[in-house]
Amino acid sequence: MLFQLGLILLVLYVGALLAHRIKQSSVPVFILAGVGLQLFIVHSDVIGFLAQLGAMLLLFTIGLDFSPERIRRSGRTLLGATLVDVLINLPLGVVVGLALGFDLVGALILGGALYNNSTSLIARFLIDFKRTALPETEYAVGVSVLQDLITALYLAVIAGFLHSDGIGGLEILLVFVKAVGFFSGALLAAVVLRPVLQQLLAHESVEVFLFFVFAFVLVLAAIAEWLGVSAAIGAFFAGFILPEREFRERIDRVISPFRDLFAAIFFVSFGLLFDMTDIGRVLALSVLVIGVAIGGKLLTGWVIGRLGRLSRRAALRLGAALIPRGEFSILLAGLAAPTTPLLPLTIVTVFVLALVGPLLMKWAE
Amino acid sequence: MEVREVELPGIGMKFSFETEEGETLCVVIHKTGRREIYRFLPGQETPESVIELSDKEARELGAILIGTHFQPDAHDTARLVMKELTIEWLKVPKDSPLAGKSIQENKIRKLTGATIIAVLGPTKKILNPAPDTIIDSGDTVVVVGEQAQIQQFQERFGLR
Repeated sequence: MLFQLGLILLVLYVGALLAHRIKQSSVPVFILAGVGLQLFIVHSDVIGFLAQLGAMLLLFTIGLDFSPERIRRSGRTLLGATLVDVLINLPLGVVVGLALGFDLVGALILGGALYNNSTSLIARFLIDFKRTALPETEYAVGVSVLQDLITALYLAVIAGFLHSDGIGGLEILLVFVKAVGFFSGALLAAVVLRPVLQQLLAHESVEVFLFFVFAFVLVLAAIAEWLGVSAAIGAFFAGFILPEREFRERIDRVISPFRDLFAAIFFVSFGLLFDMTDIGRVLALSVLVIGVAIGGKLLTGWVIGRLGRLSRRAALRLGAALIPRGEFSILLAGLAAPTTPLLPLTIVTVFVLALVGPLLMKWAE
Repeated sequence: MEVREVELPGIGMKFSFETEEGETLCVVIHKTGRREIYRFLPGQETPESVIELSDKEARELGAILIGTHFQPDAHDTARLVMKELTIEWLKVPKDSPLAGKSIQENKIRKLTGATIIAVLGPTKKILNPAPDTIIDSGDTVVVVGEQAQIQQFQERFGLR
């Protein structure tokens, strides 16, 4: 096992180096690394556990980006844009999923995977293209952050479906009550516990701080899993609850090395599980899905841009900027039943979009 | 002058304002510390020019712009606003109670909370002045304090 982990980390090192050199997101590179590692190692429970830890830490730090104040601050225009984004892309993905013959849960997963953008990829591309000051950038990054919150709730509901036996009226209601219950419980805790948390987090010792944050994340993740709303979502809300402003930097400094390490293993594990023979199976599907993924976001950018009185050009650029999908999509697809080709389909889609996104951004210029 | 402030998640913060000539200046401060200054001509959507600076260069440029190395004659008052502190350069008019008296005599810190950190005149430059330093009319005092303290200082001693 030690040897396997060492090998994984060695490959990750080369992959990160490569990603840095070619200025690409490391996510597709890590997945590809996992595919290559299939030659030497097989996926095991240990890797699976480390990967789960990675997913939780990843969502924890995404959750940290939110706080009730921040959502309030984001303003009406951004909420409107988010609404446009949800209303176009979620139903589009679900309808395409159903048309492709997936069951309802599968179609819902595809909808979520196509809806959610990768905030980190979008930010990186916008920085590279020197578009940070342009009017549409506020929309692009703002919308993609709010997506994560919506997708987290959405993921909780889907995880609930997978736990229950079928999708009857009663089950839907139960799942919804659980997800909303967990969410409002977390929100209430955020408000009530804020002063206490603030005091606990202010401890000068890094060691105390580290253990507190980790315990907090894991306990909430465990509660969420017990409720059937997925451990990753528990971790997300752990981030949501923590008073972000004062401690963001400290949490970032202490937690992000762990996050980077385990999240990389999380992506490698997808590569390890990726069956190369699946590519043939999903190739035709993925061409269609990629087309839908691009078309949906171009339309979204256009509608948001025109509603926000941006120029045609800016509206087009906004749509192109919203093309990259990322970690959340893969996480969602990971929930799908292994018998469906959803996971390989999503991985291929994310992979291609990460490459096509920048090309389309250049084209929109 | 109104400065618009927008958070760009994943990138940093964006500050923009319109100059007297109608151009829009946009400053993006990246989380990494990198700064970009974009200049948009009136009515233009794509920037006319972009300046990129590292954190260190940006601070140096900021210091130059604010007049650390050379104060133009054009203005006798200036202001530097930081997170909680404000540093203000204020010219002392003839009718100000400050003129001709020492810092101690006016009980400046006790009455207003603001602190004088320098007294600048045509022939003098006193940094960290002693309590018995005499301020003359026509001098420029550099005062540091919270916004409210500085305001109180200005009102009490008739400095615009």
